[in-house]
Amino acid sequence: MAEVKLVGLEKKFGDVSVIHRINLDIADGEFAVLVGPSGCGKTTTLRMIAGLEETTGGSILFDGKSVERLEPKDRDIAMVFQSYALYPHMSVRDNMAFSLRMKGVSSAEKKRLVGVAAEMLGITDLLDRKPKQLSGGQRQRVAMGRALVREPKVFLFDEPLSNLDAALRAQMRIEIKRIHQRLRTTIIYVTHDQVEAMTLADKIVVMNGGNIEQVGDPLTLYRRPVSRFVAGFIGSPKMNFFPAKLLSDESGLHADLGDGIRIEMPRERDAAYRPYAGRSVEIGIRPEHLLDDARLIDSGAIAMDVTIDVVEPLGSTSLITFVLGGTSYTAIGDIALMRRPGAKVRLKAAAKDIYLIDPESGRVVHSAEPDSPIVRLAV
Amino acid sequence: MSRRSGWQRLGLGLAVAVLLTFAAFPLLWMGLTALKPSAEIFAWPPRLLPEAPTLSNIGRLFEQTHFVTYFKNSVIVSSAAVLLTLLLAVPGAYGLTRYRFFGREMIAATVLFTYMFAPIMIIIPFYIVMRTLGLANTHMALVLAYCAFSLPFALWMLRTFFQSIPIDLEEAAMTDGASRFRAVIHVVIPMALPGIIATGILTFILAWNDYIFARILISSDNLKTLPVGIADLYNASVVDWGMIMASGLLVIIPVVIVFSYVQKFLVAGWGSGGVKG
Repeated sequence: MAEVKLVGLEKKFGDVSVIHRINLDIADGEFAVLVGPSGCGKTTTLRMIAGLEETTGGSILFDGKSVERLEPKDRDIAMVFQSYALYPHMSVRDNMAFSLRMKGVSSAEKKRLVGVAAEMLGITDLLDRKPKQLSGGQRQRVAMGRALVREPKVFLFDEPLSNLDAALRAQMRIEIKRIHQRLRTTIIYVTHDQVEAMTLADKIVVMNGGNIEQVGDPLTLYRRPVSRFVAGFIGSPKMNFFPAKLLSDESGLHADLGDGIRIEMPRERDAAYRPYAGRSVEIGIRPEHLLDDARLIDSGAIAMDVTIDVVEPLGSTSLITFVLGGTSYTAIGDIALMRRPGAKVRLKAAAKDIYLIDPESGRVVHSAEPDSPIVRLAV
Repeated sequence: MSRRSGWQRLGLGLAVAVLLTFAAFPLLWMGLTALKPSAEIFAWPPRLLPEAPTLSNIGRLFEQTHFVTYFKNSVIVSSAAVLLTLLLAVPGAYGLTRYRFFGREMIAATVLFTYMFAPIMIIIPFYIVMRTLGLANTHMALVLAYCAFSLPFALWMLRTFFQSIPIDLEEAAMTDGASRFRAVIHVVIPMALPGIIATGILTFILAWNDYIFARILISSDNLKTLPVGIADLYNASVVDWGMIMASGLLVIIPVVIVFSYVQKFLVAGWGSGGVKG
């Protein structure tokens, strides 16, 4: 187990800088997920931590000791690869025992440790098979077993579930979480899937263009994203961003979205939003907060009348797509109402669930005090 | 595969038969002649099958010539050439695959370019080099010559094999606690084994069948390899065709065995399954 620190970590390929002096603290036993779109530098960062990629600058500290000059083998890590990277010429047992063999562990101890890991992952009856005789999910388990056997200081996962189908992915997600709860070993996990990040992480690190955009626990990232990028990346379906003009009159601040749609700004955010009065801004509202639901009665409720473009029933709710000013947006509809395309609906949102984004900097403007807890709505 | 009509099958069969006859008949003739007594070899009209099969040609080959010495020399020189070639080509090809350095692709291309020279073009300079080094008329000269000649091909073939091994596997081994050297020994070499064996066998065949280097670099009779030794049988005052055919038969037997073995490795498929693909 180890605490991992990245200090001014930098990577250049030739003249091209791909990681720009990032700083990150991961506490001992923490499950940290690096998430971001492809090309954001998350895998490169992980590979530098593993020692598979040389750093250009900065340092990587495990428990305060710098490791960036150490070979991968001397860093006491275990890595699970996206491709599983099982040794095809070895049985599952030999694959799992490989790191022990490199350490020169006795065969009795090897047998015991492989047995424990195989038991934990439910692959005991696969031990004599070769990798090519396994299904994708089984290979994934073996790859994890190989990492577990090593009992490393830090586990590194490089998009381990991206080759699995949706059902298996959900199952393995739970399994990984369970293993972490049991072993409490520091995990650094790379994914481009924000659902994986939300469900697994103690700490999410959102990366974009070689920079760390925001670090925080899943709910903080969801509730108080610092930037438009994080707001759009975390949460599914994606947050809606409405171009608007922030106006001020005697009743307070309001945003004009065009088409006669006017959204009153909550009074408690007046101080934070006031500097943007008279300027173009973006209003962010998550689909799950923008509801086609007659039951939503909130003192600060805002409403917009729109025409439904597409309806996607999900069972308990449905996704409603509507078009404003040539851009498509998403809202959530009550399945009981069974809206049809072309129908007019009044969508509502609680005033506290809107975000104001400065379009120039891409920053989300937050009031100093965190908002009151989100009221869950039955939809 | 689509089903072929009767005519197509007949045409294909005929083509195969013609090709097979063309390629295999001389070998068949050699084999059968080796088993004929001298009188039968010159019989008119010629007969395909020996009337009174005999092993006397082979017997004379062992008694009256240095066949065993030549055979031994060939085995020693060919095996040493294989060993040296692989010792150089495996790390060389690995380096050309896994390390990035300036001019890597150019080096790889140039290596193949050297393979395009006919041996006869470099044999005289090569002889001079060997003589200067004091290696003329030694087996070492032959080993070096065969190694120099098969190395470009070996490098290219192995490079292709190494390229087909996913880098993830090596990286997995390294994060599993192996040094690069041990990752190569435990993961890369076992996976490239079909390629290494195939390369070794092709080098062996090149060395085994070579005439021109052995002719020019070796002068002592007790150092001669088989192709030269057999060719010298023609220079005797009486050309003993039965004995020549018998030696031909004995020379190709190891090559045939080796080739039937190489096929299995050239169609290697056990690199699959380790990674998603």
